[in-house]
Amino acid sequence: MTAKPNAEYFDGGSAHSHLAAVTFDERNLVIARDGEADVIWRIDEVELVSGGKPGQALRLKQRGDHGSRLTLPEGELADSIVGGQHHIRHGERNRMIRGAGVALGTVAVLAGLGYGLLAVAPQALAGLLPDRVVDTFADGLEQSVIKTSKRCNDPAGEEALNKIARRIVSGADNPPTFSLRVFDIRQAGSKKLVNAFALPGGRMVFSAGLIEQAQSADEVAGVMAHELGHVALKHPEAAIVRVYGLQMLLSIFSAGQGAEAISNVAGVLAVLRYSRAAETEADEYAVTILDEARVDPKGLKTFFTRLLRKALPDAEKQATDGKDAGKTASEESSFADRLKPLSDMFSTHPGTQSRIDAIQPREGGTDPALLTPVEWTALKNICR
Amino acid sequence: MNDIPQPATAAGPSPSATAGTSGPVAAGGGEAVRVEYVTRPGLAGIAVTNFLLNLVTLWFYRFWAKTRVRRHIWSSVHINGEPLEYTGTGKELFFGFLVIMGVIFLPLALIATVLAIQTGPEHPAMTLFQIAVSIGLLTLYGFAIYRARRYRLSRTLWRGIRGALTGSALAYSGKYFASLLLSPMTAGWLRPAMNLLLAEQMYNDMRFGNQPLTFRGRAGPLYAQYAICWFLMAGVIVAIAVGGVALATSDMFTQYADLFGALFKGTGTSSEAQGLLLFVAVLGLAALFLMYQIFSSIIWALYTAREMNLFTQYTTFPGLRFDFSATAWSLVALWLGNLALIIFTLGIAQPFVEQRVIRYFCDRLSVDGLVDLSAVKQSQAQLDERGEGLIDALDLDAF
Repeated sequence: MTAKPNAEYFDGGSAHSHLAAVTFDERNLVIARDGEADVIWRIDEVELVSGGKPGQALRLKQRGDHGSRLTLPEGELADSIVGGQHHIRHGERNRMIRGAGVALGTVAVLAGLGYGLLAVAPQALAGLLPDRVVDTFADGLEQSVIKTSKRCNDPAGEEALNKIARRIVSGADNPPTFSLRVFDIRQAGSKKLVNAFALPGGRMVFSAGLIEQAQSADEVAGVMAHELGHVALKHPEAAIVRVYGLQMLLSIFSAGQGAEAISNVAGVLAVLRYSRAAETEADEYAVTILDEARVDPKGLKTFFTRLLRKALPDAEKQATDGKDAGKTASEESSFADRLKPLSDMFSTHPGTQSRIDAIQPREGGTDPALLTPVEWTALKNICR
Repeated sequence: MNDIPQPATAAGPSPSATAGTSGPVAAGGGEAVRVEYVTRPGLAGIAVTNFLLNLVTLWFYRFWAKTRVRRHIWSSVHINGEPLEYTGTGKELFFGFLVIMGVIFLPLALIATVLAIQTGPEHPAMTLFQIAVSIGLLTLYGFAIYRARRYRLSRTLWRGIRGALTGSALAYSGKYFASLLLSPMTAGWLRPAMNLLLAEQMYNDMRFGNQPLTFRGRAGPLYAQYAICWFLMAGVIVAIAVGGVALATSDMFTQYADLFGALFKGTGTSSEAQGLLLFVAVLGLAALFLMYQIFSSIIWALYTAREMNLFTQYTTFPGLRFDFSATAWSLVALWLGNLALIIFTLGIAQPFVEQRVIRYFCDRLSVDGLVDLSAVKQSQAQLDERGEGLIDALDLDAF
């Protein structure tokens, strides 16, 4: 060793401490020891281990090296290495920035995947679901909705309902196949539920409460056309895909436990809660086919309006205050919906007030009438 | 302490204590070893920036955050004046996470989804699958702990020499699973023996460079202390049960029972008085739970201190013997301090919790004897390319 030792060196082979003479020529650190070959570190591969501030020894390593280490005492040499080398001085800051960048990138990728899985894929894949999957899912949903409710199938009542259905379908270009059944569905406290469901596979379920609340065949026709819109636009099938997508996202982060999310009734009902956009689409579909079938869409409007007033006593007052107030009422109702899973029509049909406003009555009304007074009475008595 | 499930505490001191098993080379003989924690400024800044970056990145920054904290804490542990160095990177932890997600969690999610599609919701097959997955994950706990320890040791450097863990993670995993099953089945009476079994493998598998730690000892001396704690614990549980029965037969309870009954039936008329009653009930239960936690922590600290001290005494390194001076009160103080730090800073001070734990080990570890460092050569154990994905995914360990 020609120069005086000015550093401590660990060669990464043993725990032995070597005295070393270190020189720095702006490109390389040359580490010289007695009786050993010089070790040369390229300065742009040198990283800070610790120190480098006044009063501290400077500890250095070569990038990716899990062994050899060099310790320089505080002084001119240490200062010239740290002072002149940006990448050594800012090593920690750079690591932080790189890490935050990768982390943000990960969030962006996951957000994109989540959006695709939950917002784009469902409607796109809805038509591709095999019938067997749709049926299995519909069976489960049906169970959760109907439970042990009594089926309402008085023959004269069902015939009246079918008559309305035939009339509506006559207005559709390419009507989907569907079935329609009425059940006496009760809420907790045996209050009658007022709701209509479009389950996957075209299975439509009306509650007896809904038939009871309806004041005309036009109203029943309106609700039916709306639900037919969901069926035709494959909203229930899209919901299945969405549920499985959500479930998969949850399971990734909970090791397969997220599947539970849809195994309970609350999860199942969340499936049937369509977005406002979907509701509006179903409304537009309903109004179109009702018009074509010469049925007044006003029935849909009057029915929803009456229900909304019942559900939100304040809505009546607000409705007289004009459109803006009406919007507030619907916002409130949709927030309340999230808290109570299955209370009424609005729990599964959000955005009601603004939708009601959009429906225009048909000139000339329903022509000819949907049902005779006898048929209408039979329909009202379908649960007998 | 409470970050790690019980049997893991048996695995004893942190990696820093492991590397503390040797000292500088002295010509013609050995050198004494002294371990000290040198508190340095800078951790508060790290804690705050980590927290903010975690917040912005929905905690995906945590891999780099952990790494930065470890670099700080490791380099504060000085053995004979030379600091430890943590050589792990955030990238390695991130890849560890990605691999575990891809190898275990994504396939599980796919299987769960396909199964749900095939059987429909609310099918018994789903429940069976979930139970199987839960048990399967339990068998991975020991594996996760062992592999995480192996990664950390391999990324701990002192005087240019790495630590290592050279045994079978699978064997450890089996023992860990057995202890999870057997300890509760024997009302806890097998716990000291199982902890010893786990510590035995963990310590005997540890290396500093090419030099092994050795762990020799029996579980017998643990049992006197364990029995005391077990019966104290039983006393606390009986006291709670008696209190519960007394409460259940009191007037106040019938009042509450009516209230809750009404609430569940949905027929309750909510009044302010009832709201207050409910609030008091919830507050009371929370206070009771907290009291139970504190009592049980104090009681088990008596045992944990004994176990830590004994296990440290059972451990040797060529030329060195170790001693540890844990006490129940200092452990409780450590634990309560950590709890307060986490609660009052909303978790921002987590790095200080880690610092306190490592400092506790450094302060209370003493090393006897002389070590010949010329005999310590570099570890030939293969370096993991990534680390800790499993322990992160299973959320077993906050470090």
